[in-house]
Amino acid sequence: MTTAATSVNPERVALVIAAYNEGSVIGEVVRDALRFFPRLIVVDDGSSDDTGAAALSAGAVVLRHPINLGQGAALQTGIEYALLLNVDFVVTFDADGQHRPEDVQKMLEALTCNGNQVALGSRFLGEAVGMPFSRRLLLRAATLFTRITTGLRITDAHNGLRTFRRDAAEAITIRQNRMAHASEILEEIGRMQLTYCEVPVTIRYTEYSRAKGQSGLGAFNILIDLLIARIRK
Amino acid sequence: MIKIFLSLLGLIVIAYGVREWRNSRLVSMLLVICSMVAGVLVWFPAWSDQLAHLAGVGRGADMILYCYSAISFLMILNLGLKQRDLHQSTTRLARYIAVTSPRLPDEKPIGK
Repeated sequence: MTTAATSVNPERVALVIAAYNEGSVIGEVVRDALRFFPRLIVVDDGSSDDTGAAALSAGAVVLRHPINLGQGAALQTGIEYALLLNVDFVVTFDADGQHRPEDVQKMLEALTCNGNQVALGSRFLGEAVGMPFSRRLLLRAATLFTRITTGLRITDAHNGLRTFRRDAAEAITIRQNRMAHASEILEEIGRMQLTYCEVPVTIRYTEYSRAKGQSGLGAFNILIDLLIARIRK
Repeated sequence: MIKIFLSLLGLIVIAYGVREWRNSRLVSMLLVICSMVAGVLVWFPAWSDQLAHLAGVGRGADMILYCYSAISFLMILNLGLKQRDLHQSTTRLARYIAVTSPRLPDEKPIGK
């Protein structure tokens, strides 16, 4: 295992990866992350390929949803399982290879040094390698929307790399099963007045991750999901 | 006779609206208000023209149709919300199955 560049004991950190049909990349992502953090939980969200088997053979703990529920549901499942373990920090990490485990160390450092409860990754403070222009525009619009609706002063609303201190992970419950969970997490941080900071991170866009990413229609669906959730309240 | 029949239907919708209060206050309130307005107009159709003019609708009959459309829309919305509840139950079940049956690479028990 690579020596951690943080004062946090890696055994006290759980990485949660939600994966749906990521069999071709999940093994590499797991092996890369295990170099830094030994507690890695992959939630196989009802994949029809060998995602679960690939993650397991790479060394992750695998939880499997019997049916596909969505990334938000899978993350909540992983977080609930992580909280059963004796960890102080829970990290959400993407399955498509966009994130770097080294950035998690920076986020943990930010939490331990500044006493914040949540560290949010920001590609706009850091670097977004190979990000398409259309994606940049979409993310900027989503960030503006989130700043208006939550009051949080953030620069990147839909970054899947987040680190929660245990108390924050316990406080937040993700109810949005699909992609609207990213906005919901920020709403919860604002509503419960959790302390947070943004940490510059590097996001690597590959052909694979671009193909799997959100479309304009996806952004519209997120808005509808958030609207319905508010009616329900 | 038709007035009594329509009033009974309106009362059923009001009862349904009250019952939905716990699930969605917005839907519940709108269902009750729309049904009550529709009920009043069944018994006092002359008021419908006056109300229609106040609401900026040409004829009272049109306004009743709009009320009917609004109630239908709200009931569809409510069905959608119920479906969402059902989906949440499915999620809790799937989560329980996932969390209670982890596959461990080295078969170590949880927390060890």
